[in-house]
Amino acid sequence: MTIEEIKNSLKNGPNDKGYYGDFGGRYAPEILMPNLIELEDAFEQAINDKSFIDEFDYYLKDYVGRPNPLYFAEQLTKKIGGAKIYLKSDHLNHLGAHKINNSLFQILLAKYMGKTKIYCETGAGAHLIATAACGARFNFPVIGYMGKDDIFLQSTNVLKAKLFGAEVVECVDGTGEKGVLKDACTSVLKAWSSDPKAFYCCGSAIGPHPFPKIVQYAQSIIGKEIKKQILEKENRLPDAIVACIGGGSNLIGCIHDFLDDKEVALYGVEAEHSSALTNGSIGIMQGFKSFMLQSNDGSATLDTKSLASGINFYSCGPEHSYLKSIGRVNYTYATDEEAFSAFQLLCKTEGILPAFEPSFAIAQAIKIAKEMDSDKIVVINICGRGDKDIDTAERMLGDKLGK
Amino acid sequence: MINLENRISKIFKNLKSENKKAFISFTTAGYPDEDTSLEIIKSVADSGANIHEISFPHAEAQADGPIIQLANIESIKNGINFEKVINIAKKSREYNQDIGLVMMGYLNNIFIYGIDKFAKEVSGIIDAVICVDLPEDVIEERLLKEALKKENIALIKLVTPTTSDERIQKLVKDADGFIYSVNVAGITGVKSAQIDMVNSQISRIKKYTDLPVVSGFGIKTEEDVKVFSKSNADGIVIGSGIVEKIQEVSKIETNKSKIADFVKDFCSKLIINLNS
Repeated sequence: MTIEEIKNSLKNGPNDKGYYGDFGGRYAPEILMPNLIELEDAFEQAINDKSFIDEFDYYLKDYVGRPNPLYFAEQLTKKIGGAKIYLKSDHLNHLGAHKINNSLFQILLAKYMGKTKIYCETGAGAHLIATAACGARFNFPVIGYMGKDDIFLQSTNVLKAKLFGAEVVECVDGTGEKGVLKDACTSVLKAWSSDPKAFYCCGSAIGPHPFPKIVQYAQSIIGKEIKKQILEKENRLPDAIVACIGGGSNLIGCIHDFLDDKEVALYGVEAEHSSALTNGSIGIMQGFKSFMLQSNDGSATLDTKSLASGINFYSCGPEHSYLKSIGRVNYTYATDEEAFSAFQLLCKTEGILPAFEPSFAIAQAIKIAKEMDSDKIVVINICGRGDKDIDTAERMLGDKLGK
Repeated sequence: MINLENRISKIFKNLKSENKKAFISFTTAGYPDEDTSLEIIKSVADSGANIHEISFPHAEAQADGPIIQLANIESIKNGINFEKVINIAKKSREYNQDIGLVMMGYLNNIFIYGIDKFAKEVSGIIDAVICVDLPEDVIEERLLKEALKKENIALIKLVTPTTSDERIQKLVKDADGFIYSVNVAGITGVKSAQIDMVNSQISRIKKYTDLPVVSGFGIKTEEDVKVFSKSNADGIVIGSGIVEKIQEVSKIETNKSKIADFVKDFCSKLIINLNS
């Protein structure tokens, strides 16, 4: 790379104030500022410490089970009749989702910093169980914040987290009646403010700087593996990479290593009723500036809903807002119905049970692949497996499930 | 530019000459409803409060505990918005020209409204702004500070138990109005403040600035006020304590002037306890 290319690389991340272009920043109450600065310094130190990185790599391999396969979905490809479709298999990680890449990284960072207690938030519960598991492995008490509605929808994840020894705190909004991921995010920031010596393990590429950067760093293993594996299999880069986005950790992890490879088209797929990048406006909440679904005067988020709790979020990570603003990534959305039929299609064609979250990506990838020639390549990240969603699937299918 | 003396510095100067502390009240605009919240502010002013913080509600208020959070959500549900809050501030100023008026809340409302437009709109109405999620290293901090300065409005800086001396020095450098010393690590209305810790934090701040220092978070009751009347703060802020009273009384009372009178009586008692 030339100096000019390095300077202009989209992989350089935020500036020293945590901004990606106009987005991101550190809009935190003063009480959290010393913590955030301490975390930023520790992160920079850790990623330049070979023994820290070696430990992360060791556990990624032997605990998480990486690298996971880049699988050629031959049956699905035939069925769609367009580009070759590859599936990146983050659903095969320990605990069945990409979230563990980040939880592992941050728990090791907490250990590196000498912290003794972990807080986390969660939507679908994937980040909760991953953090709870790593907390168990490295002897940290973990307290997870989860929306009331999500606790109901994702009860098996709550159970798993408790088996790993985590405490799960139910969160609601100010009315006390309902609670989803954003309520968990606000609650965990309050908990951390009240207990600033603890470590906050943020589950997505959101929040005040340096969280978006840390999560991107930890999740970028996905894209690095994709690049290596596709070069081995096809001797060239893919034409498109597609992943779902709520907060955006799985998507940024998939695409970060490809940001400068302009020949690779990148797609982020939101849920229709939480499509901040497609239908939102710029705002500042929960510590960062990004596109968000908000009321006209910015006092509140709009209600969102999605079949997939994990991407049911009113906003998105600031790096995504930046990548949208410069046109590098195509952000779009899929409906619940499209996602649910994609979910069933992958079950039937490949014998793979995806979570509802990546089903939104599958739905969009099918549309893209169909329009492409058969010598083209599309990669979809299956960022989680669908065990957590089978009760809902059963309810939705009813008699159609068959005998 | 003629730099008129800010109302707030006058208030503190007068109090100092009488050896008194400032009583700073806080209520949520739009709670329990728009009209009543205005009546409450008027009655708080009548009670003799020196400064009043008009909180513009936010649903994801990161620094607020359950009492203020509920008020935030209820008032948003009842249709309050930022423009209406500005209107409440204007009417409050029409009613009383002496009380220091502060608008307090989260940056997003001001950001969406427009920083310069906001500063012009509240010029001559309010004396200071407190933004909970606006540390000094975000772009809007400088923009807002400069816009407000042109209108002779202070942007108040907060110091918390986690703020190092080094950070305090940086924060107070171009601070204006007063310094808000946050007594507890956490959210409003939950933990109780400890006077020793409060005093030592205020002493730390006073090492680096001559601005008045007010103390808030964790002071709720008449008893608390008695205790903190002996602190080394130049003023104390009561927020959750007042909002909780409004919550209690508005459950059993719908007549807005009766609700306002009740709040006035409560504040009057607190003020007596503060400066007795």
